[in-house]
Amino acid sequence: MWSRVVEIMLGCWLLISPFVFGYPAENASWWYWDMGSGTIVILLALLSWLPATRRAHLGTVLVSLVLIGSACARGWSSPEISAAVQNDASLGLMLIMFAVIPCNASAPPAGWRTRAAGPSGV
Amino acid sequence: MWKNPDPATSIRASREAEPGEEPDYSAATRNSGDAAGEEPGSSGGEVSEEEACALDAIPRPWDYNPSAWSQRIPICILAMVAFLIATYMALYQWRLIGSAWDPMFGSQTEKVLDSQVSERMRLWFLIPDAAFGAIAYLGDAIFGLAGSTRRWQYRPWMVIVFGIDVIPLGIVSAVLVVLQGTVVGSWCFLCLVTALISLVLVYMAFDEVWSCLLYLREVWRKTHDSRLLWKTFWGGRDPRTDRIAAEFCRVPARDRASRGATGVAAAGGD
Repeated sequence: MWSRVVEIMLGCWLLISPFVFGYPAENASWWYWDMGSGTIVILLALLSWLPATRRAHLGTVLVSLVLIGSACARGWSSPEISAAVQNDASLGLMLIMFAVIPCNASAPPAGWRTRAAGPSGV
Repeated sequence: MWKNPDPATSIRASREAEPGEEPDYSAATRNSGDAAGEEPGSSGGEVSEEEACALDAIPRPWDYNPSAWSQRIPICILAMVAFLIATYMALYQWRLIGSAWDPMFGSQTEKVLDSQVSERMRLWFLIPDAAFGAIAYLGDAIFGLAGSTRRWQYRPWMVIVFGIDVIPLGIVSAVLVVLQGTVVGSWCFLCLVTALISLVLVYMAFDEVWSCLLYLREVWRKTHDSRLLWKTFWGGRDPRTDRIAAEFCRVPARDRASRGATGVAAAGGD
């Protein structure tokens, strides 16, 4: 579950990004977007602990793609690449890598979990 | 050396096989001696749980397990070293630090990091190229760390993604080094270090990716079932692939008492 823990940390970073980089108050959409995506990432990571929704973290892949897409749309259209765009692009790239890692990645997939591997396989 | 050295002994394919297709995959005689003369689709010739689930199985063509922690942890450590170096250079490109350290070429590092090539890439990637490289090295560590010690069979997609991250990254690093000398005309010590690390990572990661590709090829060659190959790629278990994998690898000999202990040790954590 280490990748879920890292996703939660990155989600927290998205939540505080508007303050860290001092997004201008008139750009309300930047605020909504970063804080919204951060909240979604954290919720999806937490849901992944429940057996029924253990694949919820894959939703973070979609969030990352939208983050990267919006960063590209904003960054490639203006000569100046703002800190917000760079932040969204890097966070999207990092989140997508963590999000594809399954829960309990160090154990074999469910089909191969033997009694020996049982305690670690949830 | 291989557990099943006799490819001549074959069994009938299970009912899922393509109609009219020859059952061409072989399951050699095992210790239990139940491989020959089974009814189609029966459970005969099954691999034992031990063969299917031994986490220290050794795949072809090596005499060690390339997915073992002792093989993968050094890759992760090296990738994290490169990640830290690349992050340091990215901090300079972001001007969060005022200068970049270089013991050999003096201020040439800063020339490289501020070069036209670098600026151009920044417009593409939206972030400094060193930051982009740092994320790629982080990916090497993430995908090196994830998965069990039999992931060449259990999670081929993970090994392939790992290879896709490591191998092109090594090539890109080498290209950037050439560009330093030819286009920029300056040298950057830390860039050379990370490029060297990239090439070492390619060398270290290659064996596992190769085993994984050979195994997938084996699944295709013996079944010609694209759906089974797809299922195998994404880590689904199937009696047919279990059999193919049992022939593809060998389980180190050990006494029964230590089996359970090894299994627990290998599967422990997270």
